[in-house]
Amino acid sequence: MKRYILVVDDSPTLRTSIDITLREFGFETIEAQDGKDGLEKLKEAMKNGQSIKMIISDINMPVMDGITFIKKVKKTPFKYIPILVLTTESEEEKKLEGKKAGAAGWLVKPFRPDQLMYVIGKFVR
Amino acid sequence: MPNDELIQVFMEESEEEIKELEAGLISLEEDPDNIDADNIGRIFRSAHTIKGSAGMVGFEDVANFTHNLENILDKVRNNELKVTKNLITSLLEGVDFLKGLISATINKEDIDSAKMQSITSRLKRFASPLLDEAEESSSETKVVPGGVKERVFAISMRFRPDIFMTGQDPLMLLHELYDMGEIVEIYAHTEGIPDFYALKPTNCYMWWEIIIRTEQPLSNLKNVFIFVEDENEIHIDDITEKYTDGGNLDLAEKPIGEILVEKGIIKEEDLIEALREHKTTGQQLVEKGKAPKDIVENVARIQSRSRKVVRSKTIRVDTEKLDKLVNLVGEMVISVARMVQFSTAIKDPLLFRSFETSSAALERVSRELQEQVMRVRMIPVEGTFNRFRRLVRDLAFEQGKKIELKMSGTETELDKNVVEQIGDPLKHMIRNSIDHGIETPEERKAKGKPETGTIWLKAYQEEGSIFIEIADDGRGIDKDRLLAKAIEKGIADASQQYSEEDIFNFMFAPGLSTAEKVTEISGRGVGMDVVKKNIEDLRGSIEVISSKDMGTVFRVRFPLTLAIIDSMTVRVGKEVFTVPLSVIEKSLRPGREDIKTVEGKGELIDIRGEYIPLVRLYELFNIIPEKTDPTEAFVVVLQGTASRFGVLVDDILGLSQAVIKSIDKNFRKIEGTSGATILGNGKVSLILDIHGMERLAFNDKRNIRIFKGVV
Repeated sequence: MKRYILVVDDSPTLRTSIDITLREFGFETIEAQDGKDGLEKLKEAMKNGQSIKMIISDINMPVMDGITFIKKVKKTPFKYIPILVLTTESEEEKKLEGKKAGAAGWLVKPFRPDQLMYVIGKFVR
Repeated sequence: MPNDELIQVFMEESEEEIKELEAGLISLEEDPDNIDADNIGRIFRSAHTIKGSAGMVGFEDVANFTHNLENILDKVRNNELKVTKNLITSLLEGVDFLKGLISATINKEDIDSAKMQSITSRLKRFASPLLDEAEESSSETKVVPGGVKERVFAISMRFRPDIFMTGQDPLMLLHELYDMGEIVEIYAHTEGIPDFYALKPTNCYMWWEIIIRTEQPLSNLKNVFIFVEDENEIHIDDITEKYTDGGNLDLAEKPIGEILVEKGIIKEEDLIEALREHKTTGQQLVEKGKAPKDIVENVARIQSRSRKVVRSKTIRVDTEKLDKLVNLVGEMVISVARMVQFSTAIKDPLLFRSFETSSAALERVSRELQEQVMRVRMIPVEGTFNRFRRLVRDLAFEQGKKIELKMSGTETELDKNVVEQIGDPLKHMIRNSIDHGIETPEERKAKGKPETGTIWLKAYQEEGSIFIEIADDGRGIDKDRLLAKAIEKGIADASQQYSEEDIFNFMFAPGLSTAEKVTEISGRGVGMDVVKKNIEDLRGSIEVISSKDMGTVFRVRFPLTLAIIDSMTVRVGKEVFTVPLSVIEKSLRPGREDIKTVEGKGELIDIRGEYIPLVRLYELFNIIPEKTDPTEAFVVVLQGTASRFGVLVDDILGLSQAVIKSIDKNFRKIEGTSGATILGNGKVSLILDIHGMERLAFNDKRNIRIFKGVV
């Protein structure tokens, strides 16, 4: 069974770099470019029977930002999927906001593949 | 090293974002007094994105340079910096340089670091106008306090039981702490872990105390708990001053005498002698006159008793041993009953009386013993019930329904065999409730019901039986559709009138599925007929109560114990049969006018205005009876879940407790019986099985229902 991770980020570079790392470790990624897209991708994944093990979400995004996205996810049956927020060091308060919204962990950009996998490893086997 | 694919993506992305940046800055310049929040937000995000992406592909110069732009835009966004022509010019200059910087980095060309430095300084002055350059550079270097002293912290972490549901795991916090310094002591408190059957694997029952020695400041330790501190009890104390090195932990745990022996300072005999003289705390207190002797002794006695209780609360026993015990006790009860029968042979009245009193006592004790042994086999239904939480959640989600599962009586105990085997039938009924019972939130709203449907799982004990109910507040069973289906499948007769109960019972007929749309789960071919059979195999019964738009209740009834039944013994010719009391409605001697024979339907008997079929037991089992005239014999009226009929027997012998022995294991399955029991006189008596008898007497269950419908 394939293990999917949803990556929500408006930056294709971010998504691609995460995607490259995750594939190397045997995960499949589903990409979304903002929170709204993320919610739609979740629904789609459910319909396709894809099991999403984790959500990685940026905070600052157009259309629907990461905090709103997390809050919405927490009101759906997907609420048990651990969510990792991506922040930058200048967004210390965003980390707290993300935490309040229900994120399970955070990762400061930029990060190396091993850092990403270390944090993912805390939540997903 | 970033790969080519990633660099390509970054190139395209940064071009896009820089276009946004330029366009945004220009429109900002056109109307500097009227800052459009959307616009400035967009510009900021572009810079932010470029910075983040550049960092990801490893272009640190690009990331660092863009950080300056981002910083200024952030201040503009928060109204901390006023938009001036000058500012915009500098920003645009910065964007221009950024373009060149990106392409130079990608093509591995040299960077004009002098120009980068000057633009950076200018931008920084905008960001913090009070800083002159000297201060600026000093603020760049982080202040690293020299010679950080190690500190010792005591951390206690208690978590809410459902912490795992929030995506958190105490283990990962422990790992994180482990990385921060030296864990000098750690205590895992396991006393909150319940016994196995009450254990919810998704709960966190443990808590931890940790002493960590670290160079990290308190704030860093606190950061570890940032995601859990609000809803869990996390305490961090600086105990550097108080903490003294525990030294060798092995020594700490050992009594001093043992250490001295090990080191060869004293001999073991000396130690034993010294220990013999050793006084307990209680004794010393008594000697010093601090506490009265009798009170201390009493407390010590109570203490030792409660210690014993704690030690022997549970014990694991192989189920095979238990089964053997149950069997042996069963044999004993039978032997006692036989022995009591011999008492009539005693001629001496004095001996007879004393024999009778002691045998009555023996009977009582053995019955009690039997009950207790049966009780040992009982386990709570909780474990089985809890399995359904996930099922309900997943199925509800899958079907877009909102369902709450409520449970009660989870502590109710049932025989282990039953608890282990009711899982599947219960699961099927719950699925049935979710698939066909509970409506979608829209449908419910339209009906004026709360959007969230409820499924109740109840267990309770009543009248010597255990009941398990699966109830929902869904749409109820559509009687008309069920009947139409039953007729279509040839289970019901279109020309007949059926009572509500009859119609509901069609649900349990083989080959009937009312679901128009077969869902993934309830379409697996396991019908309600299998559910019913499974339950009856466990000597249980099932009934349905349903009301349109109010919901449906499945009520399953199990006998308290499996191996013993209260029963009535009846005689036909020379054979004695045992009939479970649970299926007997009444027994009577009918009058001539109560018996009627209807063409094609056989003999009927009038029971208070209702005609039910009459079954002659001797015909069923091919026995030569004593009586063939019903008015001279007895009729025992049996009431099953689906049917009701009278059984003609020669005589009723009495009531007794029967220990069920399986016959098909030792002999072969006898149609119409569910097992055998050994009578007081040592003879074997077959136990009648109401469903088996139905099959024998009517060949087909349907006939009985038709009979019932006629009158």
